[in-house]
Amino acid sequence: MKLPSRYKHKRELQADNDDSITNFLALEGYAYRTKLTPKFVNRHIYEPENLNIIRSKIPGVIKKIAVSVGNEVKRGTVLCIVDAMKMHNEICAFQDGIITDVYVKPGQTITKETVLFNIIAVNDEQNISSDNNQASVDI
Amino acid sequence: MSLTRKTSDLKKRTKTAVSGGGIEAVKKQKAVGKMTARERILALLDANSFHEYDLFVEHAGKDFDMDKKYLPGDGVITGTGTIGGYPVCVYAQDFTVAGGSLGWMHAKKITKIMDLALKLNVPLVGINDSGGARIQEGVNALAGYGEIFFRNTTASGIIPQISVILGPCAGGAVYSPALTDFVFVVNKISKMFITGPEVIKTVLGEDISMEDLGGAKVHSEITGNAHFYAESEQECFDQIKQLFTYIPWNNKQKAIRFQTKAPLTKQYKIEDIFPSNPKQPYDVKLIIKAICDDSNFFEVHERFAPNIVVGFARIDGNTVGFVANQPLVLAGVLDIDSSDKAARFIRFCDAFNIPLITLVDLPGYLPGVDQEHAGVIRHGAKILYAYSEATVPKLTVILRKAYGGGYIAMCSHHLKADFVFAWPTAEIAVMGPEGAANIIFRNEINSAENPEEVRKQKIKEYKEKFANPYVAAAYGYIDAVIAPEQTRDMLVHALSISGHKALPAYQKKHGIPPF
Repeated sequence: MKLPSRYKHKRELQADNDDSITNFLALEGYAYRTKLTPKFVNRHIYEPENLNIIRSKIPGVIKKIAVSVGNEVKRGTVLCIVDAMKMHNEICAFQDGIITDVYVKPGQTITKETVLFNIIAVNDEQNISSDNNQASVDI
Repeated sequence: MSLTRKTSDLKKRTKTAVSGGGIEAVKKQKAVGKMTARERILALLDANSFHEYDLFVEHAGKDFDMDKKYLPGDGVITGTGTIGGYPVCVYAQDFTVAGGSLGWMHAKKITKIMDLALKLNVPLVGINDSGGARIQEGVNALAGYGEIFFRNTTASGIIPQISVILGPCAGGAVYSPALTDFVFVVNKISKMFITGPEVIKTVLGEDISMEDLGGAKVHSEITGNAHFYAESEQECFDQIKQLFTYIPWNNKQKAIRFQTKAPLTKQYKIEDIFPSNPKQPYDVKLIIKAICDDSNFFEVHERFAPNIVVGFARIDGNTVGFVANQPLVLAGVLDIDSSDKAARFIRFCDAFNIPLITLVDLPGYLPGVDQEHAGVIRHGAKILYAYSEATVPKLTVILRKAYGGGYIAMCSHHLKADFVFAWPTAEIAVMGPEGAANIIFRNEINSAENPEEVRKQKIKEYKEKFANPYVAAAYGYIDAVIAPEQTRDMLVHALSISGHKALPAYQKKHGIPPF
């Protein structure tokens, strides 16, 4: 039901001066009292990518697994094939390393971001240096 | 055959054709709370104004026994009529006929009415309620969509195009609304997605309802695909009728002028609305209402990116487009969504000769990794592009904060605003006092015995010296510092003398906006 305009105005003004706005947004060293949108509250919080964990970037079905635990792989080695989007997609290693875990089986349906493999890098130093570039997510 | 018999034969044929998918199908349509395609057209257009064409078009399907089927009007109703006296071309997909599926002749009827709208230079309204492509017609169904998209693009910026989603609109079908100017959705009725819940279930194993995937709320709040949200079809039609009063028929005309009406200044008093504390939030919509005719503001994209407010109003009887930062939400920052929202609205106004009024009060662009990674540079650039390119009269009023990139983006003089006014409360500076003092006086603060005290002192000094409109005014970046109550008068005058604004245009095919 719509309120007649004269009441609507009162309601609007009340909402405006509402002290119930208890959220703050920090910008340039000042905290502004303001409402937050659900989209802002639910925003994706950044995490630096862990190269040891191989995740699926698309949903599909595991067609074939080409490696097993203990295998040494080079960067670019095909680890498995995912049947998705009418294609056989090759999932490759990001870095040289040793397979420590295989989390999926052939025929398994996987979603986006499913963890497929764990690889320990042969050269660990590279990982340490890349971690230093981690950005702060606080605003 | 005598004339009478021929006429009665026509009546019989007409009766069969207008019956749509038959009583059972109509019952089903009603059961889910939807009007029929014909009822929708009649509810939207002025009484007795609808004239239908191509009623006897038959579908062109040959395979899978389709040639034995009769689909009245091939599942779409097309015609012309008026909305509040405005001429329009209209089509409505009829879900009762083969699920409103789009086959070749169905698409042909739509493209024919689109061509007519473009030829006649009148707005086009499309009511979408369709299960998608008619699979039996194969590649011809795809051809049909392509022909529609091409015409949507050709007509863009020449005639206003309005899409009303009153049912499913799935797969390729979604791209016609996406290419049009305004999309209307109704709660629990509208559903838009590229791949539906069934495909997602099969491929991903994820369960999601149609409503949660692409319902009216999702598109009006999260994706921004929909500009207007209504609780019922009737409310939706009322919104369309209202929109038509603000926009012109085509890009060569101006919107119809209405009688001037003063704002309701007793209800919307700027001094009551605008807080004296410069950090306190307020609802900028009330400021717009305090300025525009009859305090009547017709908001576009009300639920999407509410940290910026865009919409139509009238000043001195003429339509204007308002773009205003909303301090009530996210402190009024510019971010990806709000830049997208504003840029699109600015381009609509510019294409259809609607002057722009920008109300500025923002602390800047929203910081954050999510924003940076999602492309706030590229998306934020859209607002700069849209304002710079716009040739309609551009008027700006700086109410409070206008800091940094936000100051430039919000139609500053540097983007060739015609008039920039500032209230005495305006704070125009390269950045906020807190941030600026921390950088400029870093060494002084860090080496002080009591850094906190020095910091506060320096912030105060910076505020006093720079957080005002007079520094910018001294360089001529502000045309006039005005008292808030003068705002309407200044705008009325500025608009009245900008009526014949003309700019030299560079020869080019088109620019390359940061899509």
